[in-house]
Amino acid sequence: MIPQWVLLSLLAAIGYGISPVITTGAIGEGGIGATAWTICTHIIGAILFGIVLMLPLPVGLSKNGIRDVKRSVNEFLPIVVLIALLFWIGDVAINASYSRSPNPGYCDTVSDLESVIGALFALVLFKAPLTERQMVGMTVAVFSLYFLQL
Amino acid sequence: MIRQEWFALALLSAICYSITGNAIFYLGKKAGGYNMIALNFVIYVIVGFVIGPILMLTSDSTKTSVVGEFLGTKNYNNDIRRVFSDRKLLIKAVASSAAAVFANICLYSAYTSAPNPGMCDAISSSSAFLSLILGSVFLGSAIGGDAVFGMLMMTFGGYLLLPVKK
Repeated sequence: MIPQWVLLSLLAAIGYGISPVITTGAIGEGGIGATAWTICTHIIGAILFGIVLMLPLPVGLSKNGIRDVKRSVNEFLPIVVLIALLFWIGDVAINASYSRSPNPGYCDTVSDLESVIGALFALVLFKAPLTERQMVGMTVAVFSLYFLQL
Repeated sequence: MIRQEWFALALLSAICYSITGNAIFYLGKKAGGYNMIALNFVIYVIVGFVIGPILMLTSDSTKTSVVGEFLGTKNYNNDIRRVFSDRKLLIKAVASSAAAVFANICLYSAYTSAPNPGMCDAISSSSAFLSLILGSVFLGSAIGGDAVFGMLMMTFGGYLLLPVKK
């Protein structure tokens, strides 16, 4: 029996796997600019997230939804705006990358380097320690970039 | 070291996403728990309904810039109009957004019951292989042996980065 979290993670992988292919088709063949495409998908995404926010979701996902929307605006607006700006730049960059690479899968792999960069940021900002195993993982991940660029 | 344009762009996205990851971690700590769907909703609203119109008002299709060419802002207003008026493109935009929203919700659901959220990220990262196959089947994108080896190495590296419970 597959644990529920594994199944959900696999479903997430399917969703994340489909989206770039559609984007590549729209930007590459449709000739839509990456920035415009990112804005359009965010407008639609905001509507979808708004609908989802109103639904009773399992495993406590609906808990404090409306309260946290208000908190995002009233208490944490500067950091939320910073996150939104960085997400936007990241999304535009990856969408632009899809249409220029030989295959969208390569771009997602390079983008997965965020875990390595994130671990380094966590080390610097939060003094989160790194184990030897994690250092080997970082080295392997960075070295893999050589093969992706061939 | 960076030989290709797509690589530089993907790397830029990795840097942005890693900073947001840490910012969300900081926000969650400061707020004492956060509903991630609510946060995603606010982020999408800011990008779609605040940044989008600002770009619409400031973009000038008669001027060309290096950044504009690079990120496709040259025909921004026209492109936005095209997506919402061309049925085929609109369906693609809705499908792409729905897939991303669905994936986010599944991932956050997985976080709540997984022994370690990093494990969920590691599994969801396999999406790159699905994109690889779908891209090849539907778009005729090339698949190179070296790149697939690099993808497998990245996956292995990501697995090693996961914290181990003792």
